[in-house]
Amino acid sequence: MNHSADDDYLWDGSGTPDPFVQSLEDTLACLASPPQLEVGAPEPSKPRRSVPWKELAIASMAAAAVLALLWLSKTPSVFDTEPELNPAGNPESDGSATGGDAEPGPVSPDLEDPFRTDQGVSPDLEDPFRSDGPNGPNVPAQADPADQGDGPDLKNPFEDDGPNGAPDDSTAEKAPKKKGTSKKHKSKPNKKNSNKGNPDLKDPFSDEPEPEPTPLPEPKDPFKSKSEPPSGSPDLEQPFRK
Amino acid sequence: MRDAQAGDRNAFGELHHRYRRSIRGIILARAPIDVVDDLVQDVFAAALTRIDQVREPEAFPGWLAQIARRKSTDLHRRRAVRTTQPLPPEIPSHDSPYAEAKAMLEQIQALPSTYSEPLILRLVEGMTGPEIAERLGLSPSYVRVNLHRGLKMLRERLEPQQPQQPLGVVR
Repeated sequence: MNHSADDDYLWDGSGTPDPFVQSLEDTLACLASPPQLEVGAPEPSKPRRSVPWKELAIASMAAAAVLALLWLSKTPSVFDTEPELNPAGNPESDGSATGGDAEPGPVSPDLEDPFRTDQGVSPDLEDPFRSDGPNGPNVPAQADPADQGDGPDLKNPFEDDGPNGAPDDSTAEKAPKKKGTSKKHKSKPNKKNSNKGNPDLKDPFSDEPEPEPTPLPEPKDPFKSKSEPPSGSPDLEQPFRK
Repeated sequence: MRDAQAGDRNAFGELHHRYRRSIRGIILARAPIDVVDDLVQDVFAAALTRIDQVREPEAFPGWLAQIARRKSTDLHRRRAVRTTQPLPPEIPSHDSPYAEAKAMLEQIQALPSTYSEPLILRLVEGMTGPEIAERLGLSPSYVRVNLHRGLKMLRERLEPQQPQQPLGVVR
């Protein structure tokens, strides 16, 4: 009977208290769990570190990507022009012209025209700049490499008017192949003309004011050698032929 | 428990707050008092990493209690290898209530674990019989029987050591 009463108190604290159980409870109470640990917040939920390294890394990568896209959006203009400058129109180029930044390069005549004010490609552009030449405004007095490179019509007179005074028909026939070579000289007119002994290169820049005696008979020779009238200035050349 | 399995740390914190006393009592039935709190943390750390192994929420209390029992056993194996040193003589042995409590605890720990566990949870942690049954995942009748038998065995062990009762009690 006593056991049943003791069991109730031992079981859920109800019933008559058992002195033996009470003494045990009082003795062992100091070994109970610390109250601060019981009430304390759950330990696993610790705050994260204040410095979000992952977020910073992602942000830096995104910024780098945006900068790269901006840079690429500007570079396409450069890439678009390079294939036009390099193309097959100039297979014999030295390569120095393509690498230069300031030099427009002798590749495409369409692009070279506005920059080469002194080496006009078309006769309409050449006239005002060659006004001080001895042959007159419309007549290409000196051997101008720009004329050779632009078309077969303009090459003939200058090829025949070599500095040696010996007209070369073979070179006139090979004129389309030398377009590239003539364009080389266009791209770097000042340096190459001064260094080389080629009179074709010297003429446009260094000797523009110099009136050479040879240019006068030169326009006559090309008409003799070639039957085709120059397309660039048909009105001026036909009367000489006649 | 499902939330804790899904990775919710707050839910696991609730489990820790709910079962910490019972786990401490289980460990205290086997291990010295100075290492109990460390072992409690080890038990919950192991439970956090393996909680996805529990299939049914009802099995979680028994699963967690089993981890605590295994941790206590491993500690006994490791301590058996160590060399023990005697305490210095200037430390009082039975003068403080803490020392008396430790002596009483050793008597309870000497009982079979089937009895020592519910007794410590009842007498040290202050839990009731239904709470013990619920936290250990045991039936209430089983816990009640073990409490009764354990208390009886403890009384038998302590009575010869107790001082003589007052004369009025003993006729």
